[in-house]
Amino acid sequence: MATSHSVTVDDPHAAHGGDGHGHEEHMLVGHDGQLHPSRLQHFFVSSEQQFEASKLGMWLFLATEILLFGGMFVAYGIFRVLYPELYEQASLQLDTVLGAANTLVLLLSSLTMAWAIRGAQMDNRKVLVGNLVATIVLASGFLVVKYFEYTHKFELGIWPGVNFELDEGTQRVSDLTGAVALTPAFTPAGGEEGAPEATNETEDAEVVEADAGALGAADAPLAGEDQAAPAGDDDAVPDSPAATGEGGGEAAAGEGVGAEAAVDVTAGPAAAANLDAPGELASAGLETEHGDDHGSGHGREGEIFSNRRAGIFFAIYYVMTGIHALHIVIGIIAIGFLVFFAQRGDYSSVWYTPVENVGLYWHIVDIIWIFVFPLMYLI
Amino acid sequence: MRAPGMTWNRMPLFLWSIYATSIVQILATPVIGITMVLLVMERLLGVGIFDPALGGDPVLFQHFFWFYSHPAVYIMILPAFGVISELMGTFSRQRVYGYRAVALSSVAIALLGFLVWGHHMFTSGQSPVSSVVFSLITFLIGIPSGIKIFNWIWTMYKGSVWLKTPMLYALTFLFLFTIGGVTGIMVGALAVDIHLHDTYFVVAHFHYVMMGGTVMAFLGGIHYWWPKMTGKLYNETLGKVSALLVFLGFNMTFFIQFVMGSQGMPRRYYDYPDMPWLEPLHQASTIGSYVLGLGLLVVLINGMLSLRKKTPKAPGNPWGGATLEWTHTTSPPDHHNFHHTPLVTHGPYDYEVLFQTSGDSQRGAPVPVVEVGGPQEMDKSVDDGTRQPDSPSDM
Repeated sequence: MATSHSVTVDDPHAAHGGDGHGHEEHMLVGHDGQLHPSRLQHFFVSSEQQFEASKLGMWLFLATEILLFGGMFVAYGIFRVLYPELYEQASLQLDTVLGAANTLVLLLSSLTMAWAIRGAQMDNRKVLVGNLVATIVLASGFLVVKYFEYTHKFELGIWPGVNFELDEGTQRVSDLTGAVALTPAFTPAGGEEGAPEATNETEDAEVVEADAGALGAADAPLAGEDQAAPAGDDDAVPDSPAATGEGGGEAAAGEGVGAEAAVDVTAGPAAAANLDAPGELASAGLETEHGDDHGSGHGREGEIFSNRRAGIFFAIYYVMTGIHALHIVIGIIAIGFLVFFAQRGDYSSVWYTPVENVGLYWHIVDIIWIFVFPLMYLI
Repeated sequence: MRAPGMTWNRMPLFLWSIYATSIVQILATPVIGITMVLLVMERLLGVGIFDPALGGDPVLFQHFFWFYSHPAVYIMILPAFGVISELMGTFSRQRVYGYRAVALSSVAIALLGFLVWGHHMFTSGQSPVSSVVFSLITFLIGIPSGIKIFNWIWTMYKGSVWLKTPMLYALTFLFLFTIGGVTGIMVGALAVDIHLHDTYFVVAHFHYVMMGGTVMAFLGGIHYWWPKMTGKLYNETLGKVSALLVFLGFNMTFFIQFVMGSQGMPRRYYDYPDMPWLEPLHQASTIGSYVLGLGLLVVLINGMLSLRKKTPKAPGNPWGGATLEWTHTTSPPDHHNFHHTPLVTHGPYDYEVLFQTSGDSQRGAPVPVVEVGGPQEMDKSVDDGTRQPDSPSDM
């Protein structure tokens, strides 16, 4: 939207309204309406050329940003194809309301950013600074919401990576060694014929048995394929009272935390179900683990707690939203500098290249979120 | 910064190739960047992305890796193409044939180079459909590469070929890179690749393209611009000896590997007890590598010898090149490169204009630096419309 406004003004004095910073004209604008030599680099013919060159560079940078995020979107897509049900279940753990609120916040911040650029074009410093500050406030709001989303998940035990532990008795990803029960359906060369089918069978078996609510169903592939695998947690439960007691205690603790979380954060029905699931476990004690979640009617919300691979979805989730949040932080810092310089009166309709470029950056960060939100939260 | 009158179609072909290279660099590097970030996340936090033990997909890593690493070989070879274009023009005393085709084929290679990464993964278990598509697009790369090769050959035809060291390296490039390209078509073919994958054939192909291509062009280019960079001429005899040693040593080292690879010698193996007949071939290849190393050592010694004080200073234009660095400045260039901003009125390989100006069209004679330009001359030619006005749309 800003591109249609040329930097050069034929008569700079006409373009500058009486907004009380007329002295800058002499500082920034030469007598011919071009930029003052201090702003115009010697290798550019005109200020338009300099502006356009600067913007071209920014667009190139944005292209690299899109490719950077493109890699993560590809990873998301691949794992979605490999583990479709997992994605369906796991995405229910994300709070759609908070996500939608953040989307709205970012869209609004894009509006204020564009408005700030308009302010620079109109030489209206109040509009420029006010909108830049509003953008920072909105961006910080986004981060605050993100903070509550993250901490809520941490309380549920949804950590990124090795510490991922959804439920009592559910193995941490770090406990699983080898390709046991975790081999993707898509097996690289070497397995040739047998492997993909075998993997599919493994998955089916797991699902079927989990549906039946049988004890230890989910570790059947573990036991079958690798006796030495650290399936100890599950196997030990029926045999050793000590282990059982511990397990129950943990689950009860988990319940308490979950209750707090549900109160603190306005979580939807999904969180309520999560809250129930550990309770069920605690009461059911040693008898059931994965099966009972399902059997007691908590449906898919409960089932995800028994899915060891749920960590993969949340790995992608944390990486994508984390790197996106990092971009937000960088954006806030950049806009902070803009506020400082704008307050000082550095920008005018003749020269506002940094505002324009940071604006472009801010829009791309917004657009990336527009894609992340439906992919993560909605589908 | 840009000389007045320097339009797209007056740029030396080396600059075109650098332009194409920068497209690849900008668009391919972020992908390896995010791959590294994901890898670090996997190692530090244990999130499962690539490691099958954590539920990840190693083939995904291969895709990410090759999405960068295949374009990366074009980052290496495209500037080499540009150097060869310069050498072919200067040492054939002939306008580079098909200037626009050569220039645009660089851009075409840069863009097509993004669509062929899967040909490294024919045996990785990717879907047969994508393998066929990748194979097809790989063949398409042969078209712009062929355009270049044929135009360079045609540049020499009826030219006045001057066999100085840089040109010897350029001819070596033509020979070796053509072999590398043709064997590239071989390993790009699906069925053949299944047989040749991970054998010495691939090693030989890679070296014919990357060493026979990039390194030969680098050696030619460094000899060509050596006087411009250092102000000293290297010893021509030593230069020719090095070119000969490199050519012989290279072929002895790597041509044999085509033979061994097609016989099934796998790469990364130090032992081959089931194939005793390969031993003399391996030994010959090793001897070849010594010859190659000796050749490169001669290059190094030659360069260092030329930097001695007693070596005479190089003239401004020892090769009779027609591009601005030869015609408008001394060797090495002064501070700020040019006394007057050069005014570009014709394409980069207009040798006729050069000889007319210098009054010396004799082959081999150093051409004096032409002092054209200056404020008055510039203004005049702006008026008669020979230069295109600079505008942002030129960018």
